[in-house]
Amino acid sequence: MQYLALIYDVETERQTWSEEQIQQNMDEYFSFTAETRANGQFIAGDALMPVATATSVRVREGEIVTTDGPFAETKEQLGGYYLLECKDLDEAIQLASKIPAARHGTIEVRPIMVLEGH
Amino acid sequence: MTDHQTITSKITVAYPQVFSVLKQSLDDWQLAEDCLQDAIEKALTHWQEFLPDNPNAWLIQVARNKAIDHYRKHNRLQSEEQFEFLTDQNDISEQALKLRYKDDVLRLIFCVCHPAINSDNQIILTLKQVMGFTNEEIARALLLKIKTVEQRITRAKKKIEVTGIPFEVPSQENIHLRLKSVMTAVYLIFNEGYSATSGQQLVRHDLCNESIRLTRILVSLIPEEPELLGLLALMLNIDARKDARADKLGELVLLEDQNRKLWNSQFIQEAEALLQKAMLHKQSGPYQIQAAIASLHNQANTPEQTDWKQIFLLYQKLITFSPTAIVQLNACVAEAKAINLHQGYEKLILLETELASYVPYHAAKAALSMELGDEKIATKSFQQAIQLSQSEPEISFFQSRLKLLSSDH
Repeated sequence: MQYLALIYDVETERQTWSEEQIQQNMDEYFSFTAETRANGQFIAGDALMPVATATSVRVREGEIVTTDGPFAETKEQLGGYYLLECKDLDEAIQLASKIPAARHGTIEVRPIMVLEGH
Repeated sequence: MTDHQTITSKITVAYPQVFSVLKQSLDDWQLAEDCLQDAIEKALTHWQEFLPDNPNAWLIQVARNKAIDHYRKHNRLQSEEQFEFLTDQNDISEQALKLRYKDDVLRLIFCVCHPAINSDNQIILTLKQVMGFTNEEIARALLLKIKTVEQRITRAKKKIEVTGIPFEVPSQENIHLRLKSVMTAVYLIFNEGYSATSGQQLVRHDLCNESIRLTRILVSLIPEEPELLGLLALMLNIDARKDARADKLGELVLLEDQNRKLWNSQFIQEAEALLQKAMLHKQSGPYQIQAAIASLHNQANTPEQTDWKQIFLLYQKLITFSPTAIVQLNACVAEAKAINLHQGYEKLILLETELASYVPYHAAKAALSMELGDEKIATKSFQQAIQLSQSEPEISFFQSRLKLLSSDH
């Protein structure tokens, strides 16, 4: 099964980190990616640009309406994702718990919907 | 002729393994449930004349035939595993079923109590799939509308299916964590039964008996887990007082006023033995501590002999595991009894904002105020408790206390 691990944390908190902390965090992500890749669990994964760069797009009465900023203002913001191949939810939870942001933010794990006949 | 009650209790005992085998072999939750339901209906009539030696195998066999009918009708392809099961290549002899009993039952309970399922739904699924309650029985026991029960079951089953919650015994490294949510669900079911209001008392006491029965099964399957021993000891210690906690009129009787001769000494002794066994592991935990506290109450021949000092120490330890306001409330009462009445009361007042809508807070405040001789505060607290309470025996108990207060003048 495929699971999307959505990585949420407080962006402003991360901006207060020291050089070393940032480096260490990066290293942890690199090794998580390398490990899941080696185990055949990694499908895709990326970090996102800060939430200030977000644009929300809607089409209303045929018109494109864009607004500056994310869809919802929340305490934690979406900062990245992993798409992972796992045997079951337990394996997905295990992996999610190893994503560095799990220790200060929240990882939301969602199964990918399989559409029959596609 | 076998009577109805013997038959239903045989079915209840067989239920978790039979459902688990069907679910695993058919790999289809709904089909497993429908086929088992059909088998149960047949058992209810057939077993009156002829009670099988191996009820589990009987139910599996009949359910399997039903599944074959279903597949014939729908002409569906089966996986190899289903095929083996349906063509009778699966061993369902008594010995084979005995051997796989542990895995079958654990697989099921760990699935329905998966932490990814919210705890209300864990409870409902446990009652249905592990304890074999019908939807009507669940609705009556939990005071819910049958429609709500059905909706929650559908939602929870969908979550299991769609999110890939495994139907497997968790790995050794995971079992400890996963057991926690199983224990919480089972204890919540027990508490639902124990806090039953008078009207529903009978139905709801089933919840206590059944959660004790299930915990006994869990203890036999995972004997090396001290918290599980603690949980069973706790339930037995609480359930031991069930005949003493209401008087002939159904009025609530406080622990200190209970007739201790009515307590179930067999349960108390068993709880004590379990607790001793748990403590050999030297791995303390919240259930063991709560069981030890209940034990200290149960060991006292009179309320005056209660070892409040020890109870106070245990509550302090419990706070380190679960630092909730409710545990703190209990610690305050113990402190008032063990160390100093004023000191305990002062600390209790500090919890007022957090516990403003919690009935036992006002009851405890009233009781301590009475001991301190402050009838005004006691009266006010009882009134607040009456306002907040939703349990009839509880309300009439507070009212009788209020009457007692006003008649003193």
